[in-house]
Parts: sequence; structure tokens; C-alpha cells
Amino acid sequence: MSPVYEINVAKSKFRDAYNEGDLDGLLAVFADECTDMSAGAPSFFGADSKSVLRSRMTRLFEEFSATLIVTVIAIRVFANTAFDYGWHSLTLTPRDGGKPITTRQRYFETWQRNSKEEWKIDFYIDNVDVAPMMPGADLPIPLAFCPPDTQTQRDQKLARAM
Amino acid sequence: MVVEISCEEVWREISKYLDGEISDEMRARMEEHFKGCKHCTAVLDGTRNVVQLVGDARAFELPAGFSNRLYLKLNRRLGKDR
Repeated sequence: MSPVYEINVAKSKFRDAYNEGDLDGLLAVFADECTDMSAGAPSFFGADSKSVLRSRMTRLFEEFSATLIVTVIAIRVFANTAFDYGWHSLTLTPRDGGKPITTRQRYFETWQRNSKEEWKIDFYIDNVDVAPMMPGADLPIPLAFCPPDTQTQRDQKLARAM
Repeated sequence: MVVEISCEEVWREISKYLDGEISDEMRARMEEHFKGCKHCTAVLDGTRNVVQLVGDARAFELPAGFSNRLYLKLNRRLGKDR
């Protein structure tokens, strides 16, 4: 089995674990020490990441049923290290019967092959996808470099500092 | 479990997919990918159109003497570049 296929299999397990609300299955795809830079959440590093991920996903699966569609754009392998990037389209349906929410993130993650020859995610980062647009319709500066939530956070920091 | 496949792999296999020359497993992976990937669906539709267009002799009915003129023109151009 080629490393690219093995990573595709691991990514499929990640997707299936999400869709089945299988917390242990989901965590099994991650390395014991990893870096999590998910959009809208604080960054976590090392062993903390997995326990934070466990608690965050426990709440998520308790409150919502999830449908994750993964679109992998490319996978690159360099010996025991690899990365892939693509999109995650996640629909969360509240278990109490509320309206479903869908978000589409663009992600990048790195993989490490451990001593058991298993590929595990050891770095994850994503941000909110933006619909395609013509080059002439580029976002105005500074919006493209400093999205509103970042601006708000910076303004709050500035206000506190003043 | 249908195993994920990347866009890059889909592009490599798309011609074989259209010709029906891939395994059942690969077909299932690609079809699952097309469901969620507008980009690859567009590539698939485009490739299918090109294959149909090329396979349709009527679309390429050329005027008499075209081949000869094209051959001479290419020869002249190649001669200039050398």
C-alpha cells in the first residue's frame, strides 16, 4: 500500500468517525502530541491538544450530529512526514431539533508515520473558505489582510492598552 | 468505507474513468469525490465534452487542401525557428 493511499485511508477514518460521532475513532487519527490551530479557537500544543480536542469534541457530539464531507486537494509525502490540504464541509444538526449549520473550511495538516507505521496528524490548521471570485473583484485592502474578527480583536486590545 | 481520493489523483485517472478502464474501488472513490468537489466535476464535464467533440467527425470537417496548407505552414515556421 502506498503512503498516499494509507493517508487517504486515515483521512477516511477521520471522516467516518466524525459522521458516526465516534470520539475515540476520531482521536485515534491524531498523534499523541500535536498542534491544533483550528479557526475561531485558541491554539493548543503538545499533549494538551489531544485532551482539549477530546473535551471539545465530546461537547460537539453531545449537542450535534455531524456530517463531514472531505475534499482532499493534494497529498505530498517526504519519507515519514507528509502533508495534505483541501476542504472540510461540516454540517452540524442540533440534537434538540434546531436548524442545521454548515461551514466550509480550507485546511492544511501534516502527518507523521510512527514506529508502528501508522500515519497520524501532528499539525492541523484551518480557516473559513471564501467563495471563488474574479481577480478584479478582490477584497478591498485592508479587509483581505485583516478580516473583521481580527480587526475587532485588535481594536479591543488597543482599547484595553489605552 | 469508501476511501478518500485527492483532486490530483482524480485528474490523473479521469481519462481512464471516462473510458471505463478503472477498478470498481477507484470508480467508487472518484464518484464519492465528485459529489463534494465542484472543481473536479467541472474537469470531468470538460474532459467528457472534449472526448465527445474529438470523437465526432462532423465537428472537424475540414476544407479541401487544409492538411496540405497546414503542413506547409508548419514547415515554414519550423524552418524559421531553426
